[in-house]
Amino acid sequence: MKIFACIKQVIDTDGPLQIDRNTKSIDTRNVPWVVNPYDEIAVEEALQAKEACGKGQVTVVSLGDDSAEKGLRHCLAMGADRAILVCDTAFNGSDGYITGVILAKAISLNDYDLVLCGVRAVDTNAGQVGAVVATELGIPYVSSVAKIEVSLDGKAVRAYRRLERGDREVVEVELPALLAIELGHKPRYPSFPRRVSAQKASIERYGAAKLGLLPAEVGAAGAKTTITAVTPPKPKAGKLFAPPSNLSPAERMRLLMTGGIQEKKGDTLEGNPKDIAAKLVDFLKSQGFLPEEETKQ
Amino acid sequence: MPSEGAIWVIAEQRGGKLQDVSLELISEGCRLADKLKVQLDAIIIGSNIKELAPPLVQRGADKVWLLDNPSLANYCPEFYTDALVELIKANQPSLVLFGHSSIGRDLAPRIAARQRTGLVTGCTSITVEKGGLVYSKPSYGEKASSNVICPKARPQVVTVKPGVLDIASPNPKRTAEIVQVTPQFSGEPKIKVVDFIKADPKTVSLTEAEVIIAGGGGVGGANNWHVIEELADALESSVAASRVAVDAGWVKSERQVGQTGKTVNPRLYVACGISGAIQHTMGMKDSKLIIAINKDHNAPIFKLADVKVIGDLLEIVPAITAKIREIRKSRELQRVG
Repeated sequence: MKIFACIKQVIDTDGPLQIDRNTKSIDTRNVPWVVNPYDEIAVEEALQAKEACGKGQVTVVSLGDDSAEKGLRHCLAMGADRAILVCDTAFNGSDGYITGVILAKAISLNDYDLVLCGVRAVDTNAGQVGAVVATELGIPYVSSVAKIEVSLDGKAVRAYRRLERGDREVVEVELPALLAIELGHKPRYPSFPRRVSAQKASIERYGAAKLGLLPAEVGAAGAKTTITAVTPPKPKAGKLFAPPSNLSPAERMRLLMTGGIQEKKGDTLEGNPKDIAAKLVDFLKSQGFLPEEETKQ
Repeated sequence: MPSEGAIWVIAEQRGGKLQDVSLELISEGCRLADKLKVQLDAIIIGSNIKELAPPLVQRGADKVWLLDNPSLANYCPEFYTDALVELIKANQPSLVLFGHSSIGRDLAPRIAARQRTGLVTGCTSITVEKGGLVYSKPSYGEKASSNVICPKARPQVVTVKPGVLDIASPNPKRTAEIVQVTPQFSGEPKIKVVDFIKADPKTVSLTEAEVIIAGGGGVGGANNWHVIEELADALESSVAASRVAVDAGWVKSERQVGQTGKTVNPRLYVACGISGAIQHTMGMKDSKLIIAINKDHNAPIFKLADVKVIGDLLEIVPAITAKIREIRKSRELQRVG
C-alpha cells in the first residue's frame, strides 16, 4: 500500500511565543520548530497502517523552505521510507488553499492509495489543506479521524470520526481517499541510530517547474486569504460585573467578591427525601434526561 | 465597494432541531448585512424543515432557502456539499457563514475547496473595515490572535465559533421569502456511515461530558462516594468532584472541576454536597442546568442553581438513584412485554 503523509513544520506552540507588536507578526528567531503535532500523528498512523498491511511504502511530503528538511528527516527517523520537499521561492506567501493545490500536484505525480494529514496545523489553525488536496485529487475526504482500520485486502478503510461530546461516527470508504487525523496513536520516538541514518537519507525536491505550476498562480499570487496581523490574544470580553449602585456598599462589596454571581430564581425543594427524589426525577424527565415512555413505533 | 452578493448563513439542524449556533450566525449576519447593505439569506439543509425558518426570519433573514430532500435529513458530507455548491454557483453569494461545529468544520472546507475560494475557520469576531471584512481568530495554540482577510475570492467561506456571538431578540412581525429547492442526487455517497458510537460517560473527558454528577466535601468520606457513582451510573452520566473530594483521595484528580481542575459545560450539572466556593463555580458556571443538593441553605452554590435541594445528600441521592432505576426497569419490562 502506498501511503502519503503531508506534514508542516511549525513553531512549537507549547513554548513561549514572541509576538512583535510593531510588525504584528510572530518573531520566528530563536524558537524551536517541530512537525505539526497533528501531522506527526498522521505519520504515526501511516506507519501503523503500513505495518498492519505487512507491506507498502510511506512517503512524507512537505511544502516549505530548506528548514522544512528537518521535519522530513524527523519523519524518516520515525520510519517513513521516502521524503519529498516541495520547495520553490515562487511558493512563498501561500495560504491554505494554494498549499493544498501544490501538495495535490506533488502527490499526483506518484502512485498513492491513502493520503493522510493532520486535521489542522497548530499555527494557523485552519484545517483547510486536507479538503483542498482531496478535492484537487478528486478523492473522498474524511475529516476529524480518531482511529483508522485498513481492510485486509488494503482496498478500503474504516475511520472513526470524532464528533461533539466524545461521540464517534464510523465511516467506510474505498481507497484512494484522504483522511485528516485528529487523534490517534502516540507518535513513536525515533531511536538515535535511526536519527543518524535519517540525517544521511536523501530528500527528493520538487520545484514549481516540475509540478507544472506557473509562479503567477502559486504563492502569494495564488493565495485567497492573507493574514494581516498576529497579535496577542485579545483579553476575553468577560462580562464585567458592575453591582447596581442602589445597593449598600457592603452588599456591593459582597457581590464583587463573589464574582458578581447573580442569584438564579430556582425552585427550592425541601422535606422528605423520597418526595424530593420523585420531584427531581419528574424534573429530569421533563428536561429529557431520562428516556420517555415507550412510544408506538 | 462594488455591489456585493448576499451574505448566506448556513443554518444547522440536527434531528430536525435548529442549533443555537444558527441563531448566533443569523444575528451576526444581520449586523454585517446592514453595514454592507446587502441581502441576508439563510439556508437550511434537511428533510421537512419548513418549520425551522421562522426563528431565522425573525432575526433578520431576507430570504430562506430550504434544501429539502429525504437524503439530506442527516449530515451527509457529499450530498450536502453537492447541494450547496450548486446553490452557490447559481446565486453567487459574497460570504457564506457556517458554525464551527463538527458539521461546519467538515462542510465549510469542502465548499471552499470545490469553489476554489478562501476559507477562514474558527472565527471569533468579524469586523467591517475599509478594505472589506476582517476575520479575527485564535491561532498558535490560542496564544495569539490572527486577523485574516479574503480580499478577492468570492464567496468568502467562514466558520464562526459557537457560543461567542450574541443571539438577537426575535421580531415576530418580520416576514421573508421562502424558497424550497429539492436537490436531486444520483448514486450512493462514497463515504458510507456504518455506525454511530455514543461516548461512554465513564471514560469521556469531563470537558465533553453531557451530564455530570459532582460530589464535594458533603459526601463525607470515601465510604460514601459510591452514592455519587451509583447516581452517575443510573443517569448514564460522568462523575466529577470538587477539590475537597479530590484532595481527600475519594476520587482521581482528573475528575476535578474548578480553577485547578477542568472547566466544564454539560447540559446538566448536579452538585452534591458542594458548597460552591468561587474556585469551584468558575469551572462549572456555564453548565446549562444546575441542580444543587446541600444541607446548608446558605451555601453559595444555591445562587447558581436552577433547582435547589436542601437536605442530606446521603438520603436524597440514593432515593433519586432508586427512583431512576425503578423507571429504567419498568421500561425494560415494557420493552420485553
